Amino acid sequence: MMLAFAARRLAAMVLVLFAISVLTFLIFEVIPNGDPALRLAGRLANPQEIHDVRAQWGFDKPVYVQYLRTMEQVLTGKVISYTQQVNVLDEVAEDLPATISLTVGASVIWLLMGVALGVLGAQLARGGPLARLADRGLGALAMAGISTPAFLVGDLLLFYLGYRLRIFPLGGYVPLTEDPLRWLTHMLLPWLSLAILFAGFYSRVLRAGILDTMGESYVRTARAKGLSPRRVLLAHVLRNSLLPIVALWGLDFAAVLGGGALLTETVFNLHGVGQYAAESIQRLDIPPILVITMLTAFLVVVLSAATDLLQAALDPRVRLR
Amino acid sequence: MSAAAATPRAGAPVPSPGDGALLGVRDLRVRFHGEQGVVQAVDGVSFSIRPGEVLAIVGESGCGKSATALSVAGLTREAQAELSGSVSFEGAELLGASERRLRAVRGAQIATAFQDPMSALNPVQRVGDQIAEQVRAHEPVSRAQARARAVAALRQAGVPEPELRARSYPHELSGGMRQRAMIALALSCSPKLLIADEPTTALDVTVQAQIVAELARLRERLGMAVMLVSHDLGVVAGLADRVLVMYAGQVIEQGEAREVFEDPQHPYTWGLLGSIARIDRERPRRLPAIPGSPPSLLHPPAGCRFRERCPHAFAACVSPVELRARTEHAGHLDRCLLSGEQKRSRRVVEGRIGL
Amino acid sequence: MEVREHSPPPGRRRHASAWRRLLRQPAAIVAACVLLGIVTLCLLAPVYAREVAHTGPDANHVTATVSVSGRRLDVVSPTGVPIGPTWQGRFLFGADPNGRDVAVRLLYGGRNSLQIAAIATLLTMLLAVIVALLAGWFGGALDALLSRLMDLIWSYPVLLLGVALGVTLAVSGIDLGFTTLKGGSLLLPALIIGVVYVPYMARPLRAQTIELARREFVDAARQQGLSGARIMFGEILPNLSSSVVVFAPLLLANAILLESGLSFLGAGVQAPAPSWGTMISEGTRLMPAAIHLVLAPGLMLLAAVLSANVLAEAARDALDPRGRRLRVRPTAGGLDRGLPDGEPA
Repeated sequence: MMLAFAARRLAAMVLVLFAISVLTFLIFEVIPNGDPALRLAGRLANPQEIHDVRAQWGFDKPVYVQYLRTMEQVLTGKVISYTQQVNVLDEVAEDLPATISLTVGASVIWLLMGVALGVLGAQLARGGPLARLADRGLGALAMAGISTPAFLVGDLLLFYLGYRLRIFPLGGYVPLTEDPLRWLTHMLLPWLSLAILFAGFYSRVLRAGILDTMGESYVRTARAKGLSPRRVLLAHVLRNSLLPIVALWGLDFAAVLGGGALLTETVFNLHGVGQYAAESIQRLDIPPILVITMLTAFLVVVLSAATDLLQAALDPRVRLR
Repeated sequence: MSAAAATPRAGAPVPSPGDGALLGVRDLRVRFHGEQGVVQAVDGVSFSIRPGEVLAIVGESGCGKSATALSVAGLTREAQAELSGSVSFEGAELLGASERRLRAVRGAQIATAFQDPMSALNPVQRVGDQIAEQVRAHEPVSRAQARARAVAALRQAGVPEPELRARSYPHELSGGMRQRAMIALALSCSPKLLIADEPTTALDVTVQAQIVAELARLRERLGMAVMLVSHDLGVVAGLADRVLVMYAGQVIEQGEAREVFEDPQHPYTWGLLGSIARIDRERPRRLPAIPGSPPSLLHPPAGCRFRERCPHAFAACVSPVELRARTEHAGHLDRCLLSGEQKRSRRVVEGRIGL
Repeated sequence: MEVREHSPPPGRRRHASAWRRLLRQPAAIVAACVLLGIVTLCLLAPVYAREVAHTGPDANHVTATVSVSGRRLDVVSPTGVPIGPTWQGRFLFGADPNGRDVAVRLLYGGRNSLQIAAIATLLTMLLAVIVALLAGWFGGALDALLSRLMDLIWSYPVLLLGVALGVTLAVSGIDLGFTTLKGGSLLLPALIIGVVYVPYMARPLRAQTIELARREFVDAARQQGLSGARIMFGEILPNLSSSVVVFAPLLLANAILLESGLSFLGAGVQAPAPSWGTMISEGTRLMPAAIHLVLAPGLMLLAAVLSANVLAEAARDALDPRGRRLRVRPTAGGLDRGLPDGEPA
């Protein structure tokens, strides 16, 4: 069963990566956006130089030849940026620590915040009128979190806690290996601005899940067994209502790489992969975009498989497909 | 307590818990506050159970029998529920007792086997662990001892290969096996009272019979009292010492099982008896069901609550009918105004009891 | 408990009762009012510019001065720092480094942002309903093709796809056959956002269509000899309507957010046209000097998205048949679950 699962997922991954690379290539190639040879040759190039560049990079070949060439370069690790003429993979490898720090840290924070606020909200929702009012307040906060773009939160945190109060540094990335403390202070604001969005959402999903699970028959059984409310909550209610959260977490973690990270890294100038992607897009530089999109898509597929595995481990009813 | 005023109960001979009663329930009322108003799920129910006795509570779904049974161990306690009356267990009051005190009773003294074990057992926990969890909640035993107790409980409830089944998840067991596991869970701490809530619903007929036989055997062996909640008088017939028939939140007939089965007083009971599928008799062409559905408990009708579905209703049924003895047996109570003569003649349909 | 509602109201009355439930939620009414207010304000942008601020969205006042409580102040200081909020008619929310009135640009920018979001939402709903009906009704190869296409768009990171399309199209424009969109057109981001969100809505609607196509009333319509198109649009579509209603404010909120994200990265609305996203982006670049450049569009954006999200949740609550159970059962948070399923009318 495990083997069939791995084989199916691997096949799906290859298909998705192929489709995404084609789509990316088409977006930048078929949509006429100016001749890359013109940009590569520089502003003062004469027609002969442009022609040479075109021939050298293969821009005069049919699209599918160009695609195959680029893909070959991507897969052999020899892909060169159009505008900066550096190896894209080196560049990505250099930027990866910042992005991993950002996404891993933020996702842990939003998961913890989401669980804490979700449990709190569910408890309040079952309490008296005042508690229910507090729950509604939490709901409104969560809703505000969901409605705020990450770059706005980032800007405001940066301005008030960075420029005004001078508690935090004004952006930039310090490698963990270099100085763990400065790494932490540089990462805290980016983590928060990325996490607030999801923490609100997760807390509401979990709150709803807990309240749903509280009505389940097996929770009543747990109470009928004479278990303490704490034990009922942890072993029976939370254990079951966390299952969908785990699935969400895996997928969102991957999605953030191609979404929130772009914006957050740009705001805090973290020099991560997302910022590299944003800059490359503005330079119409296909190779880095291709590499980063495929990397993201690859992670999406791998993480969704990992999430399925985790789900199956946590829930005996789930069958791997 | 506005609903209480409409139901005169002064003078109604409420059986007192008496000496030696294990459980005494007096004038139990349960109200749920919902979006659409207040539902009077249980409306002044009184009964008692002696040690080792089997009391059956019977009625259609939505008549308040489950709410009655669950309220005994405080399982209906929640923000929207309102309980009043008295529930005394071994002389101690449970209805107003602290949650901590109730916790010590639940599972250990009063155990509940719920209906539909597929949803009543935690889907992501092994069956044996669910039983061991209860044992450890009440007794200072080690993990290994608790696990051994769980296997023993499964074996006692007639689960074959109990060591193997203890490691199974609920969805890996058959319906009958799940119900046995549920019963094993309930009996693992040797309770004095077992509340069995629809223990045979959703099982096919042969498995139903096995479970009933199993319950009878266990009761015999362990000597515990049983509160058996069922919509099916057929299930109750072989087990119950006494029967309580509920309708729309009220008791409409109660008495010794033999009397209720042989001399049923209330037309609703006739209807329930008429709709029993009996294996020992030839099946009638069509199993007669009671036409219509129970009244809304949001606004229960005044007078006899069965009036609107009752073909024998007459003018006097509009005013409230009290629960009292109307036969020569002092313990046989009912809420029907028909005379004994009328009851005897009208309840015979096609040679057997029916509505 | 065995407490349950006895007879669910028939389908005909469902929408009426959904409206009643919607109107019972004060938060929904407030949100609707806020959203309407913002839309009205933005539509009145030219009036505000002419009557109150006495300037246009692109008019520069770099060298001008403005009198604030008796003192004459530079609109933009010699060091290039723009004036902050004056809390009066001219430069109510201050100026930007080009000496343009932020309040005026906020309204014009809001007009652009809302227009893009509204068009994108309508486009998504249209495309998603068509894809869902075709895939769900015909099934087979067409379903497989459309579903894979949806999967493809779905697995492409939304923002990355939007930015890639935005940047390339901003240079070239796009020829749609019947009309050509120039690089700077506001319809470009609307088109991109509209397409990017189609799978978000089409996938659940497709599942619902498949479920509806199995119902008796569709069988009956088929036996009456109605054509596929008649059944799709006459029988199935009306039953999808409640889901579509729930999606509308949700899509609007997400479209506003995506527009701001695209514009923030320079792939949405192109300068000099304002939008909330481009304004925040400009403010970010001038960061410590003039926070009002971020705050004004940021809070406006937050208000619009928040009210749309609140409306979406209220609509889901109102249309969710599970909400009618007596037990307090909250709605699910995710879009993939808890969608109201259609009932035959």
